[in-house]
Amino acid sequence: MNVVTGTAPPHVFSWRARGLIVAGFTALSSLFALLDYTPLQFVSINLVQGILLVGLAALAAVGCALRVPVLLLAAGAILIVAGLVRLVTYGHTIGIISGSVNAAALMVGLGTVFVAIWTTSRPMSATP
Amino acid sequence: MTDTRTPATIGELSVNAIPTGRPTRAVLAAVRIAVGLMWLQNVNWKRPPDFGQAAENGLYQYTSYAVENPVLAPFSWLVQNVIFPNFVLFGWGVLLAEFCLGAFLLVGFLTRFWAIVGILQTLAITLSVLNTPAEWQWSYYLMFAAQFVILATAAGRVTGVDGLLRPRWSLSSGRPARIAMALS
Repeated sequence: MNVVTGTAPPHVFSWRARGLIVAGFTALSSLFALLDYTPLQFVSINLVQGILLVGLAALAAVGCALRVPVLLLAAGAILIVAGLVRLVTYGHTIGIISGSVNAAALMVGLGTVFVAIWTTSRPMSATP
Repeated sequence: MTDTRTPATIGELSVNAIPTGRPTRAVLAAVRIAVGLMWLQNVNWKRPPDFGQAAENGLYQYTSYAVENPVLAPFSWLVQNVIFPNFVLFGWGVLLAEFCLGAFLLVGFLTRFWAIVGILQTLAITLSVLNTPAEWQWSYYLMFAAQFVILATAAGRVTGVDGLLRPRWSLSSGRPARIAMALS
């Protein structure tokens, strides 16, 4: 309780808790997108994109569990690169890796979150 | 300068204060995520390389409505004389903008900037299709409303990347951090 304002401070999650929550959402969004249930299918996804999302979510979760935040950075960076590669190749069909651009945007968004959480795992200091 | 407030006006201020508790914040996050999902779901039919120009479908068809069913004469002129001759470039711009809108409004990254981009994109869509038969005009007005709410409330600060990174940006005096603070 804040004795000055009389209000409780907002609950603050640790970077590990945040990372685990986002890793869970990442894995679930992949499974959710595979469901073909209109109108709830927000994002179409193919098998390779689904496996990539689940695999990188697992990598990020391991990073949180073992206190190795660089794994969050790795998972985020791979998601962002994979999403951007699909964006620039969206006009082409490249066999099994031709996933949807919706899932690619989802990857870039979730990758940004992982990188942001990795940033918060580092000590905060003022810069001149 | 003298304080001209009276007890009555101070009372009015407190009575009319907008709540900022958990329910309000949850609704703001939900609005932002819903708008992000809307853009995310609709990005796939802007398909390169020609964005529907050869078959006259997809993005090309929707853009052509601005000429067939004009909403604003200068915008129709712009579509006919500037956008159509450079349609592939325009198509990539639309694809990139909507891709980023979906990705970054969903996770609340530089939310105010992307809300402005979303409002401008909604304006372009509205000026293209508002007078097209069978269009429900309120869908575009509601898109404007939702994105103005996101812009006004900086909704990325709630359950978003902006909320995570702004404390760090605020401690940095570098130009990128100051720009990020303004755009979030």
